[in-house]
Amino acid sequence: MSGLIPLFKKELKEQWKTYKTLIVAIAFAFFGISTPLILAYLPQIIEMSGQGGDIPVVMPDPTPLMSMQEFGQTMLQVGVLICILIAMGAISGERDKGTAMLTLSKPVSRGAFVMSKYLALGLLVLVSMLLGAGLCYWYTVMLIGDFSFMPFLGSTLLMSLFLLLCLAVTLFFSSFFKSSLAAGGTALVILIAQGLATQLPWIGQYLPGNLSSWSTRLLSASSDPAWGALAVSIAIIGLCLYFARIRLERKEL
Amino acid sequence: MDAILCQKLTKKFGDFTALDGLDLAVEKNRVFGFLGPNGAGKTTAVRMLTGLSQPTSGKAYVSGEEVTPRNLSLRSKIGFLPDVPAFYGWMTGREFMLFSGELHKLAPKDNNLRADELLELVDLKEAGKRRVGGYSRGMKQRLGIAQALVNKPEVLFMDEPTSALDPMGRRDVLNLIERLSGDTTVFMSTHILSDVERVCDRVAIISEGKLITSASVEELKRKYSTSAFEIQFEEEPTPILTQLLKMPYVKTAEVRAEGDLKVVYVQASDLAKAKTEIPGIIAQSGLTLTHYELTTPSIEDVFIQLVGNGAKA
Repeated sequence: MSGLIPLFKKELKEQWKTYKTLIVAIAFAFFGISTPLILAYLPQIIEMSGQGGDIPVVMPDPTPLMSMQEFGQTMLQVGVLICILIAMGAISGERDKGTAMLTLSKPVSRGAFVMSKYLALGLLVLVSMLLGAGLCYWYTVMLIGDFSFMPFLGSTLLMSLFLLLCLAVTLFFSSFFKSSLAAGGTALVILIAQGLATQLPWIGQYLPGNLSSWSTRLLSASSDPAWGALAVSIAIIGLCLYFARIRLERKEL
Repeated sequence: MDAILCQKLTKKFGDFTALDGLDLAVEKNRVFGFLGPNGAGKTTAVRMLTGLSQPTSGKAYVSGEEVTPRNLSLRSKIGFLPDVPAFYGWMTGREFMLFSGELHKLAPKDNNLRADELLELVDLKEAGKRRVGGYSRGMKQRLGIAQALVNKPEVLFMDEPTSALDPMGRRDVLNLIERLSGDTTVFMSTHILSDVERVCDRVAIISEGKLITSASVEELKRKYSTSAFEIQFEEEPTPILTQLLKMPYVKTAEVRAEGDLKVVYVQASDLAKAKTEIPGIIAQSGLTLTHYELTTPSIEDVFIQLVGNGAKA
């Protein structure tokens, strides 16, 4: 992995200088705060907007579990989109602009080139996810009620792993296509397809999409782990990064 | 040991052959011009020699090492300037130099010194503090040259190094290449013939992916180009043209219009004889001579003869 450290430092600096760090962190923080806030104040919001009219709107009392589950669902949709958006041009963009050619003409391995991008994006997503989840937990406890911390942490880590998988899949397609849009679009279709395929008998239980349902079950203290899906997800991450490297070695720059 | 050695290097894109069995040897510490018209396969060859593209068949060796995408020790010995160098727009010129130095594992102190030294060399010391995104194409080209030199390469590959530069920038780059010769092997692909004539010791000419010839500039001029006489008169030159064409030592003779002037061009098969005989013919013609010159052949004449006419060596 020759050149990994300077490349990783460059990726972090690029994220900072192009405001990617700030934008992603703010996006995750926004959903972390807004989820418990909206849930706690929804009856008042409806009342103030005058939507209720003469017909009374019966709303269930918000619970901490509802807030945590809602945050998990939001992350499954918005978090995945954010991951695709930030990773789709990571390699294809560099190949398209020609910057990859200059960097890879130096004593830098293709593996380090791919890995530096994955580590930097993964760190950004992980820190942003923990920030968003931390804020969600804090506001939920303050506005709605207490909730056991460890199940929430476990659930957050499972969701984070799923987002890391989304990054790896997108990065693979970014090495495959020269167009960022093609890379992002294909990654999105594949991720949606595997989500739908979790409903299939037998094979469904091993697909990464099961991480999100395991994450939801963890919140409600259900002990039904999906170790198979966890192992498959880690394997897919490794394979995506490996084949992204191979693809970059064989592809014309 | 040759600095660069290509053995039947071939690159195909589907049915299209971009480079067809290139056999080439470049001596150490020479400036080598890789000449060819647009689309001849120059960039393809340079990319394969730098390990950025894999050959379909054949092998290449640079500094004694086989070129492969995974050979990193080779890359620490070479410098590369692409035809259109692209940089991270958010970086300053100096940041890019430091980044390049880090990739070459230079110690921080040496890296800083080398970055400053090279930025000064390419006249970007002040501009080095600004973001590359705001640089002109010429400035990017100069930064590209600076980054290619950061590791003091044994072999420097330059793909069209002067094509984006103004006359001053071109002169500076050519001066720099001249200074490098003797310590560094420079492999320069170009279609600017005057650049080749000025800095290159040897040249290879390729066309449609095939090597046409490889020799020193002087050898090529001797072999492929003949000297020509340029003669001008105040009067209409047609009568002397008829006389010249009768001479056995005259290969070709023609009148070319250059603006209002009519210039007689004479190519001789026996130059020594022509030198002694032609002045006598002019004197006997009774025409008023205004210009008489024996022109020396240029690499352009050779190039046009070899590539333009599709001739094979």
